[in-house]
Amino acid sequence: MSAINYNDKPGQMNAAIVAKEQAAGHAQAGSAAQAISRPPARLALPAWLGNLLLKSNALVVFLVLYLPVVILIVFSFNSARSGVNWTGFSLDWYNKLLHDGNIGSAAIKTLIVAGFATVISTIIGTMTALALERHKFVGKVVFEGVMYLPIIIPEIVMGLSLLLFFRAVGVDLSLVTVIIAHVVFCIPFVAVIVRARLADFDRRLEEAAMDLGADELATFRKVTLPLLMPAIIGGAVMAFTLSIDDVIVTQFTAGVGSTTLPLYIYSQVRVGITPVINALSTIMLVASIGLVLTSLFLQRDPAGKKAK
Amino acid sequence: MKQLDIKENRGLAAWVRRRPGVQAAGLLLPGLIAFGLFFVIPLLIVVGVSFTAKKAGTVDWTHWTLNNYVSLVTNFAGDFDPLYLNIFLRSLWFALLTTVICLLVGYPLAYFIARRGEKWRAALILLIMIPFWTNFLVRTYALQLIFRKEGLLNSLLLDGHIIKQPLDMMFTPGLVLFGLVYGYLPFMVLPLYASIEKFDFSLLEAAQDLGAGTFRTLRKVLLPLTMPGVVAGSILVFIPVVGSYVTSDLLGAQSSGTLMVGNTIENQFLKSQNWPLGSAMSLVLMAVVLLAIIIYFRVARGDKEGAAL
Amino acid sequence: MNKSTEGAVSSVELVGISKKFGDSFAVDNISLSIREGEFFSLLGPSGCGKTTTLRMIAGFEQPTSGQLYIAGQPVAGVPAFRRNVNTVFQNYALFPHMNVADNVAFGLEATHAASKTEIASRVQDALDLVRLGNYGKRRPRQLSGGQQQRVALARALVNRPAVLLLDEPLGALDQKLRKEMQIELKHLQSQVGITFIFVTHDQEEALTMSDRIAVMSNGKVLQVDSPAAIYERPNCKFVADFIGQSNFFAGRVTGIDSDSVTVAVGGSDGGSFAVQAPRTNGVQAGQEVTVAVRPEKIGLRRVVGSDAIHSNGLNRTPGRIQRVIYMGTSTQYVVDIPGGSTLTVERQNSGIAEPNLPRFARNTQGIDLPGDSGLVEHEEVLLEWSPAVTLLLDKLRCHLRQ
Repeated sequence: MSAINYNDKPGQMNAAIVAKEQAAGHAQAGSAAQAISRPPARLALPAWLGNLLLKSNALVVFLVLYLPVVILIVFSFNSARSGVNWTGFSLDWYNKLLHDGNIGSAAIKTLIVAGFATVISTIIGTMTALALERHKFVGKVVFEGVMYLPIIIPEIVMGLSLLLFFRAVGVDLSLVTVIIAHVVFCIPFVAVIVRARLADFDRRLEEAAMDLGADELATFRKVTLPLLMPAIIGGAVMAFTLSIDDVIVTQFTAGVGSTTLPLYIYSQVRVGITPVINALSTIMLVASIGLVLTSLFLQRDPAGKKAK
Repeated sequence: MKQLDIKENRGLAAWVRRRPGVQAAGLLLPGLIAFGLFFVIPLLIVVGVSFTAKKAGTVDWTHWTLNNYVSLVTNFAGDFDPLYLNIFLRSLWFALLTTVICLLVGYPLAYFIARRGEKWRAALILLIMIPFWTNFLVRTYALQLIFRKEGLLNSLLLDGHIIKQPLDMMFTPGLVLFGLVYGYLPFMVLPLYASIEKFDFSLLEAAQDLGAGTFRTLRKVLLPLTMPGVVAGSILVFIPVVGSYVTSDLLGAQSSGTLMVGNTIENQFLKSQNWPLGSAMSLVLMAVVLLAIIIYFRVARGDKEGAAL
Repeated sequence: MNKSTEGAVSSVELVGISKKFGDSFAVDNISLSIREGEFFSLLGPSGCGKTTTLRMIAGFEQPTSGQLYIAGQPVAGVPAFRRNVNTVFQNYALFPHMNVADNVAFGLEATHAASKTEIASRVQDALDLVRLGNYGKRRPRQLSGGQQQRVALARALVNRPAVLLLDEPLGALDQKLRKEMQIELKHLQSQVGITFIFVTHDQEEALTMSDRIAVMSNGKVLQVDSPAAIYERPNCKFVADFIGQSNFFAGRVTGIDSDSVTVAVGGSDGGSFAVQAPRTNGVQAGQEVTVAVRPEKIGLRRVVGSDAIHSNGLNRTPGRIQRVIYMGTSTQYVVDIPGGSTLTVERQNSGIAEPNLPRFARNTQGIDLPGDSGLVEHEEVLLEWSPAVTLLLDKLRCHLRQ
């Protein structure tokens, strides 16, 4: 960043500014003529100060983001039953966690829901992305609008609308209704991600495959699908994460006995703090980090270069 | 060697191949069914329910009324009552504040990350992605550990004899706001980073070479060209915050100063069983959010002429 | 693919082919007959329909009307993957997720054309043919542009197609590499004997490599001929202008002989002069025509005394040098001629063209300096060219010489 700048309105320059400039003893002040032709901009932040501000901001943000999480992890190993006094290292809470039938069954239900929701929404989302990007049809604009609405409208509206729907058609709430709800709100996310990749897709690669004798199906299998894979995996990971983390939609669509892990945690922390939840949270944190790293690994470009 | 075989040009595959409409229909059908049945129809039911009279835990399709909308701004006696209006305004205000704070903190952060070397950049953005993917509930709960009355902060301050009585930070609007920023900051930083990272930084030098000061350069060059990230980030923060209820529930415990519209709707459905009122509220919420987005797009587009949105 | 049958069989035949996109014709009623084993170029500016034509042959586009035959068989409705035709794409379109060997093997595997071991050996042969025998395990993006280009060639040729289509395959390469690849491609074609249909907008590339060239403009084929015929005998103004450089005069036919035509060219201000050209069919007295002559066909010399008047059967006009442009191997002179128009003349620099060098330096090699050396701006000169190199073009239409 240069200390001396042209002013966008040279007419504003006056003798006082020039005098100030010279008195300030800038390195460039040796030439008065230069100072006259280049009046200083009013606001030129020194580079070092700018960098300092940026660095402090980043430092503070990362501290604030991670400190609570680190504290949570540390206290999951605290032997104290409650409170924040460190009374010694202990794996008791993890042990309790392992033997808690409620948590175990909630975890299994969460994985069942997430598994089905991920697979179904990834398939439907990818198909929808292909239809939207590769085909023209009547009512396309309307369909697109409706389809992206779940991303835009508050989650709670989706949850309660499904609750009213299932009541209206006389379907009892169960894990199945949770899966249906998750599928519907995951599809747009998958479709957006896959469609972005499709829009960048070089159609000549498909033409090249057909030119070399591969029919539509073989072309899709050997060229389109492998090149789309990073986006499909990205969409699937997104769907999986949305599903295993969801509280709001699940709360409205889960029936008796279909408590998922987030619902269980929510009901517990609403009441108060128990160290078992600390341990459970720590495990979920580690799982999330593992998921991020795995998805980054899987999303590497099949062309051999790491995806951005 | 491929052979020209016109006979092979028959059969089901060829039949489908010649009909792009059939292909499109096949690809669309699952999505169409999923959205029609489980999204559009449920929303229409919400609209219907919002015009029915209250009947606990079920819907009375025989009595139609506008009362649910009227009661959003009146009390039992039919006089003006700003109770719900205030909750709506508070939600909007919290969402706006959260978005602005996230933007003010997130933009310099995203810029800082984008200007690091390749290795640092990858590491720092990973540090942003981890909370993004981590369970929201767990992260909010971690704040509770620190800020509740018997929490870490109070015990540290008491041990240090800085305060005599534990501070009551829970249930304050300030803490709820902090929790919202804490929870949604990654949603702001990631899209911002994506668009700042694509920015050609030599343009900054060009602007300064042409005499623009630091702030002029940022306002006239960097900001307009990274506007898509600002818009995406703002929407990703604003929408979930307006409708959120987990944060205000866990950190505000539904005290009167922190109650948000999400909590109120949840109460109508899961506690007081007033579905018609809850439906009316959620439709108004949806309308407000859509309106806010439309206004925001207008402003952002008009403000930054030429910036690709 | 037998060379002896060259000319007898049409490898690709287009009969009245048109392609409409929306309301406009990308390709407008063209007919072409491409011989087996021929190196055939489609040449024209961007948007002239050459790539669309190629894509119709490949099967990526279906003609709006007309008939297309490959190896004598009609291919209407036959999809690309059933045509015995392969394409080298403009930016190669190599599959980024496969290594080089898998790219080359793709066609053979997709059509189940051979056993696994045979595929492996044919892939190796194809890579050897393009001198990339050791690159099979590399990813396309690890290769240079020229190498990717050769992989694309190998990927197409390994299938032994009846016709190879090349869509501006050298466009992305730098000048020097492009020249090398031109020679290599031509050599490869004579080696494998496959019909090549080559799309380019680069006239020099087309002239260097082709057996025959079709010049296209606005969806129409203007002329189909050998490179020399296209250059020496363009049949219309567009071709004469697009291929190489030409000087054009508007004129009117004033006399017709048994083998020559006299045209009065020049402005209405009295600066007109007569030009002789070989007689072409259908020319009529009084007809408005365009006369064209290539810059390098025009002789240029200083006016010395009155010998300018001496007639030797050449077309001739006096002129005055407006600009001298030195171009290394040759020099261009922009010359004002009577009637207000200018002519461009190009002369080889067989001597030393730098007029400011000392006299002895210009003569050290003992070369006879031609009469045009050392000409400077504003000098009065005499321009001469043979009637034989003078082209008579219809002002409006292009005639297809067959």
